[in-house]
Amino acid sequence: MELNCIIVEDDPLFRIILKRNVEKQSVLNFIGAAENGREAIKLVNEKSVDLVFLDIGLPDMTGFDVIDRAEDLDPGKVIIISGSKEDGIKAFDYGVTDYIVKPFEEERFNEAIGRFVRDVGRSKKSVSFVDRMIEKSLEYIYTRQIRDFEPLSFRNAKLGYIYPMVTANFDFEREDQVPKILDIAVEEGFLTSEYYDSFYTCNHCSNSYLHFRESCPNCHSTNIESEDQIHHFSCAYMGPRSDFEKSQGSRDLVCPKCDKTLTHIGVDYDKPSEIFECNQCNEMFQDPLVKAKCRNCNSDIKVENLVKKRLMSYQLTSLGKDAAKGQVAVDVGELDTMLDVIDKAYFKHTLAKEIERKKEADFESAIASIYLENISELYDQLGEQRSNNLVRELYEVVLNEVNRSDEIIFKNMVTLWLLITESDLRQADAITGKVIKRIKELLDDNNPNFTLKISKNLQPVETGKSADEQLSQLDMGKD
Amino acid sequence: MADFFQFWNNQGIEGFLTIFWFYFILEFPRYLLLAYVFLVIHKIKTHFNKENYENAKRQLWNEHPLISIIVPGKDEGKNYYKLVRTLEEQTYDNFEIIVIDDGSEDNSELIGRDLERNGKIDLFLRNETRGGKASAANLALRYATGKYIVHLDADSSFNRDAIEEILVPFYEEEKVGAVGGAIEAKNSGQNLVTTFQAIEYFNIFATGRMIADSLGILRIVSGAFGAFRRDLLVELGGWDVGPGLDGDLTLKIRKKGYKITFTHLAICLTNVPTSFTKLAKQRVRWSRSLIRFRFRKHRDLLFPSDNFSLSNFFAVVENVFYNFILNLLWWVYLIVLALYFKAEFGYLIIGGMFLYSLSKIIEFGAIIALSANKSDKAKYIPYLPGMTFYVGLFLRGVRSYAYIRELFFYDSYKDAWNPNKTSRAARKLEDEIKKVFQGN
Repeated sequence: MELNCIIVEDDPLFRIILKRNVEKQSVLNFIGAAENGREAIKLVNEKSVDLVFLDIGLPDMTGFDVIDRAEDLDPGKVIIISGSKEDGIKAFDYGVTDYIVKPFEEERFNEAIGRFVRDVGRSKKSVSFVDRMIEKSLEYIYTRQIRDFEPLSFRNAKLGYIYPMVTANFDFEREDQVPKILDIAVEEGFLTSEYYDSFYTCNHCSNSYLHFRESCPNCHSTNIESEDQIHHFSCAYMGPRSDFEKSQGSRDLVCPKCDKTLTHIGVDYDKPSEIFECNQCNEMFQDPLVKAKCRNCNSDIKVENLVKKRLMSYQLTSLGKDAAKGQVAVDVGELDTMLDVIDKAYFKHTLAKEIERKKEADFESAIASIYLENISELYDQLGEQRSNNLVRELYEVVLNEVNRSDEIIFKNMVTLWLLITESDLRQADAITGKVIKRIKELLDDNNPNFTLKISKNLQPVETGKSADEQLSQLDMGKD
Repeated sequence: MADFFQFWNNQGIEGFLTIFWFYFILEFPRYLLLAYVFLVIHKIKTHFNKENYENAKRQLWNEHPLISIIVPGKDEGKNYYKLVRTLEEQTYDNFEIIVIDDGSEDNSELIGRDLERNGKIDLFLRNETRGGKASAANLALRYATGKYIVHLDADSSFNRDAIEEILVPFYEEEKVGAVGGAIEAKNSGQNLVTTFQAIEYFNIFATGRMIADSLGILRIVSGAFGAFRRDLLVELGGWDVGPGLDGDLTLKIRKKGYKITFTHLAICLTNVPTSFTKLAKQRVRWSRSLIRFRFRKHRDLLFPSDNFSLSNFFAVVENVFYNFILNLLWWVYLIVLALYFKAEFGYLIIGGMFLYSLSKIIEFGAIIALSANKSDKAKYIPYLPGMTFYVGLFLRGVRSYAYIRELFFYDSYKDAWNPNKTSRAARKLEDEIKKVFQGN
């Protein structure tokens, strides 16, 4: 990060001193100097200026006049360099960053720059919540000199763990964002991470407070009981323990086939298996469905569908230390990973361009929508994170099926839009058919119990209608 | 060559009959003559039974009972899918499939659970530790709910009407306790070993078991394909510790006063061993059980007791006589001939070969006449002379070896086919039975 700065000073000697000081700072980039107010205003308006060193007493106006008259000049970008202390209070009323009295020590100058750089970082953070959180975490770890930033077990937390200081910034529903944000900081090189623990969370609300229990594979009732199966060696009888319990309350186990009393496990009998019976539907089974019930949102999820997550502890890198001191800015943007896959506006834009192109030249193009009718049933089981992954995977698979000049994008989680350029309807139909086949294959391979219902709509691109009109027509024609 | 004809010329017909008395007195009536007598009886019987058969079939469909198909086994996962598919093709449709995975060490559990989840198998039960085939079958029996139990091996496949046909006999007669189905070699054309076995299976099932059936002396309902009344099996406590548990169970059913029948219309195909070594191992296991169950466990059938019945006695005696006594006697016969004729013994061998080959070919004629599809049987005729060696030397040798080992060394109790724990417990039980008899 470099900050463009200008110097406004009428005294030539001071201009040189200031310029030298500026050039010593690696974060500062000197882009110009002004001798009076008018020149200063012109510079500020013409160039992208991040920092202004401003003298109060100028030949044509005061420094405050410059701040008032230069429209683009935020007083937060101004450091006043003045011969007297008397305007100090007025300067801070204006909201300038610092006020340095001439003559000054180099140290005093450096301090002003450091403070300014930190402030710039901070004001940038307000753009992104994630940046702000990362910076906050880094500062916390740095100032407390925490070598290993570990999560603390905490029963009321959404994940069952909190990261001190950081988690406190989130309300309960969003606490699960914390590890994601810290992981971004790892990706950006501010932190390194080490494995701390693994845990499962609800696919829907990311709550970690889950109840695990067996249930009937037939009717999904949790009202099931298991019984040991006994194998009596000498007569080969095999059946549930209750077959061997002659009378209620008796502790003896007697074989119902040969009337012998069982004496010694491993010698004359053993228990090679257990069988469950459902009290609801009387189904017999050995392989119960294990389901996890979320105590927060009540959804009941098959454990096979739960996603295992890793909980990490974090350590500052030297880049992280610099960021904590304000010497490096944190700029990672927002947390939205689906933007490249689901983007209605982008498709509309591309279609509009295609319409324009078609007006110029004579060729045929088509648009298609593929509607995954019942895929939300699958999303329900998968939860948000895995559903997003699935959509992304579908997107990548479909991308391989179409020509490079064609466009595909998810309109939303259930509808896929295709723009097939320079093809007539018949060719476009073949391509759409191929795409549908691949989608089906992918889903069938991975979800044997789910049969996807799919429908499509296809229409030629027309020059007489707007992209908007054609897209809404495409949606209406869904069969 | 000239010497050969000279030798037999000198012997004359009388000499020929004397030398091959073993064949003419013991084997010819038992196998060849009986086959043709039976062929006539069978044709007549089928003719008059036709209406009865149709009625029984109609009754089966009117009642349309639930059948439990049970498939116990170890390391059979690779066969599950094919099995399920052949069962889906059946004309009879009201059945549940119960598969027992008896401590498999392969991926049987994974495959079975998957088929269960997809509704292809109704109940898949796994024993974490192996308990042996009997206990696995008994576990299936415990959770079966059908009126009849059909017991299958996982590596078999079935004609489309096999299940239907194996149920019909229950409705043809009163008090039928179990019905055996016909087993043919699925891999018959693979090599010489499997072709010989294919012919042998026609022999066993087409003539052997059909004859035994009409005489009421059927001794075995094969584990690879047999149907049982469930109530009866439950009463008997199911299967006892094997090997040879199929024959054993059949005997128990007989003792209870139920009939055992056989139907050649229910056809099951099974893979037979593909090398002589593997085949020998299989037959040693089969043969041991004769000693164990006839002489040890079910000796009461041989002596007057409450359970005694003439047909049971006859069934056992026939089995012991032809399989055990004649088998050993044959070696004596061979040695005596060799010692007596010395150098000319070779002529006897060649002569015997002609005799037995001719006999086999004539016998096979009966099989063709009895079989449902005659044309595909003809291709086996060139192999028939070879059957002389296969049955006469190979099988006889293997069987004798097994009998002697079992009689003196109790091999079957050490058989890896059963886990040690069950073998030990079973042997103890049989020792106790022995004591009771000696006490009497």
